[in-house]
Amino acid sequence: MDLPIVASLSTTLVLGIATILFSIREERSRKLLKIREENQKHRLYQISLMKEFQDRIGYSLDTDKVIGVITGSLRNLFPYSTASSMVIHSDRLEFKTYVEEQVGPLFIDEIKRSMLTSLQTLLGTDITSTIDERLAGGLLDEMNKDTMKSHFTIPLVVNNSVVGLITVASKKESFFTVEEMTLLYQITNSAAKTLSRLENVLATEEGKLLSMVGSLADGVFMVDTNRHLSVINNAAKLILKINKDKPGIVDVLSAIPSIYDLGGKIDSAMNEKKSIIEKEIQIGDRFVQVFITPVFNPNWKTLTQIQDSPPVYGASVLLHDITLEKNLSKLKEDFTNMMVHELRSPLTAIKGASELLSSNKGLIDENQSHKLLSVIEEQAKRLLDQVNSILDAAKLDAGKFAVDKSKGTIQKIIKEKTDLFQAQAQGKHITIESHIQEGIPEFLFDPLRVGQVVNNLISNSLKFTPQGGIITLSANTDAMKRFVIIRITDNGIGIAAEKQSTLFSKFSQISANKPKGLTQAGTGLGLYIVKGIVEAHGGTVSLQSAPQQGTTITFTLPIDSPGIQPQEQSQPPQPVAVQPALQPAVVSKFN
Amino acid sequence: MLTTYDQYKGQLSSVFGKYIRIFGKDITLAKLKHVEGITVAPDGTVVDLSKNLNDVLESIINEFTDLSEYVVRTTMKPILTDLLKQSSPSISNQQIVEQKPELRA
Repeated sequence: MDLPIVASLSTTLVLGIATILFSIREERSRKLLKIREENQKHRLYQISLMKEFQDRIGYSLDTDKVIGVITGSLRNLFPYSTASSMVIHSDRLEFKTYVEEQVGPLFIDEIKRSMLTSLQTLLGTDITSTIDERLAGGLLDEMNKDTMKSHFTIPLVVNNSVVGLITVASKKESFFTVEEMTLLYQITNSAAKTLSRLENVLATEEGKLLSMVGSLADGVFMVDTNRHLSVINNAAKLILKINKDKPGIVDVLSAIPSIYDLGGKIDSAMNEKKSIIEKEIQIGDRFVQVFITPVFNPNWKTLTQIQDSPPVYGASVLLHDITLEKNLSKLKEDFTNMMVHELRSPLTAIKGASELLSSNKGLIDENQSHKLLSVIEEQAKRLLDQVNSILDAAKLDAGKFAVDKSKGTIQKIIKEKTDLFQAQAQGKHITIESHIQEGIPEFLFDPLRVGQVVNNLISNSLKFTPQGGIITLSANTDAMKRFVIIRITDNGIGIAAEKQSTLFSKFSQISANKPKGLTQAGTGLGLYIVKGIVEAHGGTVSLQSAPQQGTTITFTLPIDSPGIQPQEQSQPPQPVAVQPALQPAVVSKFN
Repeated sequence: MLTTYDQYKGQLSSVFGKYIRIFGKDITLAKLKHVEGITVAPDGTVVDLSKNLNDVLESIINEFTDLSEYVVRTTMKPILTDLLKQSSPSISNQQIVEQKPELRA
């Protein structure tokens, strides 16, 4: 063989081998590139799907939406004939199929049976729920007899609960690759994990919200658009007198008198998207203000651009208990009426006496004239006392009550006041005694105001102690000589325990029931002012009483600087001797 | 009483039968092909099982956890419990769940 021929053949051979090698390498590179492209495509698909989850689902726990996003975007990943979902609802199963390639009813039925088998195996129980079926995408060909040749099913599990399934099916045998199927499983599981986390976050937030609502003093409950009671706090249950742990809307509505038509008003608030306020409704013995407010979706603008106004989730109802305010308002009204009455009585007497004097001038003898003038003087003094009491009470209310202290002895005050009331006491055959400890030092106090306190307390005791009774005044210091303790004890009719707590309040005389047969005149401000004067000195006032056993009122005045109340010494000693006697009214006693 | 080799085959066959019903035949059989030491018939019946059961179980768990952790946990738990009881009778079910990640590692 010629050398040139050999050389030519060799060259051709070498070139051929080189071409083959190059082709193999190129083929490998192409395959690698294709794999990379596929991976890239899958990765991009995964990212875009996750973004779509974020955009479309947001903070919603809607399984339908999650499945909808997955099945709706599946065509970007690989071809298939149908993508179906089966979602578990409390009362039914929802079976949806997106038809990508034309199939017939037989195919759909096969998918449904396969998904039911999957669900039953997962749940370990037979499924008897009704199934709602829906189709989307291409129309069914009734004549198509294609059967399901390959499929795979993905369970959607949220917080260890199966909430639905996705099944992707094809008319062709072994149509899906393991990689494609695995990718879709991974995406679905990733979405399920997101849903699980979201569900946990929402459960935590719901817990916080429930705690907050539960701690509110006002009654609060919320209903959704289907009139289901979403939340109710204990205050609302208390106002509505509901004893159930988990009441329903029927329990709530039946607790409110039907004339208020709360159900209708809740519907109106939701339909008209307007708040409704009921200024006052009566529920049993309570009076309540009702605020019904529609609850809107705060993120509605990001969810949809179609609606003009935010969608209503439901309505919240706030029950504000105004029973106390209403009672207080009535109390004030009664107080004003009582004051007017109390002031008018002496004025009427003064007017009557003065008219009698002026119209019968020269006809009335000196004795009658003197009696009429005494009436005028007495009633004028009563009127002045009452006006002073009202002014003192007003100063106390305004925090402007002041005492003018000077150094003096309590013995002097007690003696003066005891002497003052002796004549009146003798007239009622009542004995007034005083027991004053030796050596009580001089200290700073307002003699006029403390005298007023003693005056008030002796006057009260005299009013409510029957004939033959004893009123005892005592004064002593505590062991540390930091306080003077003054007691006024009578053996009058005493005060029932339930009435004692309001005795020192401004309106005590109005709310209390006066005892039968006893109508004591007065503003009822006496004890309120006593308390104010004693506290202005840095002292305390207390009451010991029992029906038919008498009453002891104890007040303390600090010997040292006012306002310092040692723990043990601040508690005045218990009343000593309480003697049985008749008992007048509690509230009207101190006036 | 100790679980026999054949009983494990039966238990695994039952598990794979469930997988076929839950996930579908295509993906179940495809995943099982990746598991070394086991041969499975198209209906999920275990035809052949390696003596090294721990490795086989680990591989099964790895393959199917991709599909559903929940399903693997609920279906494999009885087998793992049984297996663990045989090696340490005092270990509780709770510990089995806790030890699972080690098995997968």
